[in-house]
Amino acid sequence: MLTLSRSMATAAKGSSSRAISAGLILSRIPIVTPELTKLESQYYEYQAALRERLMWTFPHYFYFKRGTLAERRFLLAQKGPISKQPGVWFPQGVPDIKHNRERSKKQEVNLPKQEREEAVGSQPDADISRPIAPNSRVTQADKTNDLSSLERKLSRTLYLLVKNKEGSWTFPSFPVEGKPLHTRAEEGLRELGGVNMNTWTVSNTPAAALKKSDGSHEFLIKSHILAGKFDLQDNKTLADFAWLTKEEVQERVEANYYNEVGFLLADN
Amino acid sequence: MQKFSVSIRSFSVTSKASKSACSMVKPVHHLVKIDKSKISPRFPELKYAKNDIRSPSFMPSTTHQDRSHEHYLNTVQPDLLLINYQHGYGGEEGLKNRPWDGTSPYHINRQPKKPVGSKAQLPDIHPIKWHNIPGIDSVVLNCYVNEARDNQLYAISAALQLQQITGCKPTTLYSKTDVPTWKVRRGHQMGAKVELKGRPMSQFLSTLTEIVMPRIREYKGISNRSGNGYGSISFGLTSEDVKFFPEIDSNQDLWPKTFGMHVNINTTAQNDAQARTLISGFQIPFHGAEKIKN
Amino acid sequence: MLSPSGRCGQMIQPVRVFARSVRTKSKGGLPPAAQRVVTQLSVMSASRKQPKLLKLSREDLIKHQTIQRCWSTYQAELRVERNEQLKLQYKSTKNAMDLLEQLDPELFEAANAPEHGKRFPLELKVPTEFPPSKIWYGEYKKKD
Repeated sequence: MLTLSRSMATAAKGSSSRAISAGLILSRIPIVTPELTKLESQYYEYQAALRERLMWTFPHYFYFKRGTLAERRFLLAQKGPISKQPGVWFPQGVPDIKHNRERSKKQEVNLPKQEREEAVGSQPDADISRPIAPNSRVTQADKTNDLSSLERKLSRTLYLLVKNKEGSWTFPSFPVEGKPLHTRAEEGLRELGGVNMNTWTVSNTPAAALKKSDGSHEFLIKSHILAGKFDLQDNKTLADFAWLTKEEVQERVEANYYNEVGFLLADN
Repeated sequence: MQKFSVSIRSFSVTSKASKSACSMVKPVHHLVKIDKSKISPRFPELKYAKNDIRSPSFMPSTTHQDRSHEHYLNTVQPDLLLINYQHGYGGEEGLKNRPWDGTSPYHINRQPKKPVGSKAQLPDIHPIKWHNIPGIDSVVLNCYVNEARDNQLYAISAALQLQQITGCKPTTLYSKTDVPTWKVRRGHQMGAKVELKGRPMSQFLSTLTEIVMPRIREYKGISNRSGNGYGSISFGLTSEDVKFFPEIDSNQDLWPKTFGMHVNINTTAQNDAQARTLISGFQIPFHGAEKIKN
Repeated sequence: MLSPSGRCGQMIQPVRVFARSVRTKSKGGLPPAAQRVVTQLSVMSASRKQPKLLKLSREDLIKHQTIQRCWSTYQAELRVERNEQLKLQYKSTKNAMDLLEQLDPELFEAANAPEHGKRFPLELKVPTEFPPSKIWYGEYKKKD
């Protein structure tokens, strides 16, 4: 168990108080952009509407040469503005049209629909004019709440936490055997989770130091996982592992442990 | 006394660079240019700041999420803080001009001596803490077209190319001096440049790193020897590379001729090594041996 | 432009024969190279392309200014929060290094070694709005 008092070790300089271990904060950075808050999405919508209103008219004559079929197709796809007519009352102001655009409104540019040849028997991906269908931001791992998957919570940074036999969650930690902290942390990670992992150590400088109850010290090294999987090898000390967001880390670890490491974790 | 080069008043088209904001013909009365729009009561809306909705040049730019910048804040910035941490480093004072010792009365108005080992004063280096973590400040695209000395229409095409790639309005470049061996004459329109900040900058960097750079054949990356020593990294894009920008690529028949350009990435880093580490966080590859000093 | 045969039946028009061929006579315009540059210039210029200026009523202006102030307050809050977190991170690193220097000078030397040529890996991608088709490359095998 950990009690994390940060009082400096002034007493007994036994062998255990000198013991140093290397902890590892292994993170998977977000794969998709953060979720927008309501304020952000509404503000962006407002600003985008203002920008569209203030944008210059689209110079179609540059992209579609005069007298070509492409220009004709483009012009047919446009919904033309209402032009000024003599003797007609316009309640919303007399139209002021330049380059086929009502100047007091935003311009709506419609692209002509491409005639798509249905490629029979060929690869569906080979058709480059197929409509773009974005992949879902919610994955299968989110639906099944698979904590061991790296494909969960794509918009958040995930951190690797391990559970020992006593049932407490911590960052993985390894005793240092005369090697530099960052080397030892990476090696220890391979011993725990198998070698098929591509990680990048941020720096050889530790990001934080924790004092354990037996007087030993743990130095936390930051690292990012780039590819591969963490597969818990047969281990006598560890029971489980999970990839967790900041809030989920807070739920699982002890309060004083979180106070020591919480600010190292990214909010998104 | 300040010296002014005396020039003859003329109506000829001269370079913008050689024009000063005030009259250079003696006697010089005003050294500070007077912005008459600020004095005149006639167009009050011209006095508003550009980001005020009442200003005629108002154009909002915060229209979407800035994913590059969010990646920087979320991942790159905390990592850079850790990477650049050096324990017990108190900073370094840059080389400074040396004052005269004052043993002679002629020392009073004499220019101070240049620093030893450098032609100019160098800035102080501060340790990286939470408030001065390097970040990308601006990206300047500089497109100087050599052929424009024979045909000024190329400079117009170059300006439009920059506008198409970035979506921002470019400014014109003029040749500054006469160079008879290169057939360059002063005051000619020679190309265009554009300075990108904020969202347009992020957009340009994303396009560059995700679409353009992967398509360049046998691209190795930016040279590790690049950099001005003060945290600004430059590299070039050839006219062939520019064709990979989607705006040019999808309208190839409009662009029979494209123009190469210089890309300067200005950062708030204090030296080039820090700047290169920062820039690599935006998926930009580097190649070559690392220069240790700077 | 050839008009579609919608209203042709309404009045009787003189018969004309259109034949497609290369235009031989110039219409008296600019040479094509110059014409291209004129088009390019007009793409960049504001003339005839600018919309009307916004005319906000007093109420709309106050609404807009309130929204702007709200946004800048929100951004300032986020900035303060981020700075606070970075400050804590810096201090935590400093404390850790102080402690390491006392406990084990050898490990401290290794931890404080300058990292020349440190680069972020290219696999560390900038997040996108939607995930890629293959979200995570989990089949990575260690290279020897």
